[in-house]
Amino acid sequence: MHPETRKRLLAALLAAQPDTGEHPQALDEARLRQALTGTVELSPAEQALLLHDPSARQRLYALRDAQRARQYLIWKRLGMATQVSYLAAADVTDHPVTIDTHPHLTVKVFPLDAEGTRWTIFLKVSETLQETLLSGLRLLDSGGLLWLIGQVDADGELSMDWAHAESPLQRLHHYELRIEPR
Amino acid sequence: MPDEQHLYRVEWPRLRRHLYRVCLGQYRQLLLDQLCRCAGPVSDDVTSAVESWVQAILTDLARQAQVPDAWPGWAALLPLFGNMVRLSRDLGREAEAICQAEAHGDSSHLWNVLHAYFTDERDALDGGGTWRVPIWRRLDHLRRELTARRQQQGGGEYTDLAELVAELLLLIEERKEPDVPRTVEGLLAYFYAFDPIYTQPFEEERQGIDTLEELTDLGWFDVQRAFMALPVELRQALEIRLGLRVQPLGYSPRTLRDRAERAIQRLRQALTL
Repeated sequence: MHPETRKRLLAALLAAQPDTGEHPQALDEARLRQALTGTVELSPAEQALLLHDPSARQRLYALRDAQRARQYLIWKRLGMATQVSYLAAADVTDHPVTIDTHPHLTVKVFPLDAEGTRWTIFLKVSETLQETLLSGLRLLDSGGLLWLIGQVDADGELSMDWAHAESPLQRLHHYELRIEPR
Repeated sequence: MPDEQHLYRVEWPRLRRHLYRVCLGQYRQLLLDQLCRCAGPVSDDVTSAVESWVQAILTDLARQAQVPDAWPGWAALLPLFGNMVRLSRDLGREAEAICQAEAHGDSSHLWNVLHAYFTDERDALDGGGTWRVPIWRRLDHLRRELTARRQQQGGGEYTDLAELVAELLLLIEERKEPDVPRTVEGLLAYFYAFDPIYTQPFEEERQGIDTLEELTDLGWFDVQRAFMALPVELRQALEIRLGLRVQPLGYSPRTLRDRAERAIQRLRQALTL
């Protein structure tokens, strides 16, 4: 199923859910904040509550928006761009491709086979950028495709296997990369 | 226990979600069946159609408000239906457009009319209209200015509300704009209250799905399998509702809408949502 189809389907199902108001205090803001910053993992009961209670989700979405806006504010005050300019020179390669045009981050695209069908994406952020992080990061292209998502580790690194049919180098012919708060 | 002003100001998104569900879910057909027979400017027929629709809703809401320890929001919804003259006028004036849109399975026109009415009633009830609406107009003006600047630099519209809010705050600080919010939460509250994207539960959920999927284990949540297990006519109707398929000939809009709703109900049951 196409990710956008899945997203629309889930949204339609959740939007049809009645708001019974049965669990007004079961998942407070402090707990949701901790989950958003990645410091705790929600218990199965808390996860189920989020899926079943529209009000709990609305609180989550509002906290998420506020946290992401604060992250953008920090970056913009420090003059940190979110765009990563790069255009691919080739479609098929068995060598890693390094994108280091951004002063605060480097993206490496590692081929896992000679045919260019399997890839790993690796991101390393500078110490300065790492110190600004309120939560995790996403790396997306301007076509809306998600390349990477998660918290960088203590060394400022994050990596993920490529899960899309089109190769990352093909995408880089047409789309620019950008980082976003998670 | 929150008072009505708190409910109208702070819990407005939740009240609005209930209004959407009750007006466009449960009681939509009751209104459309009558309104679309008497489309046109305000007439006795329109007024009578709107009155019987509102009465059915008020009876339902009052029943929920009377349950012991009921959520106070149920009671706070009742006065929002109090201006029958305005509601009949707005619905009567837009009846033709509403009915045409509904014939194509599009309920956004009806909701936009209702949402504008409910927002004004809310503002009249809590006294916020005199200061809140002008502030939103100023913020919307600043948003358009930022968008134009971004487009001149080769960018597009803002698709990320968080980024827009951050840039708005910087502009507000730089210009020392008077009488507008100066916090992230303050600005976001205006977008949730006024921006059409955030006034519909479907869009609200769509904006949040990524975060929800990251924080919850949806491994059991086999959407694709449940979707494919639907009878084909229900699946097709849902695909049309979700904008994934062009409407085929041969089914009436009402049949498609009913089937899409049945499909959603079945999926929610299958996925225990």
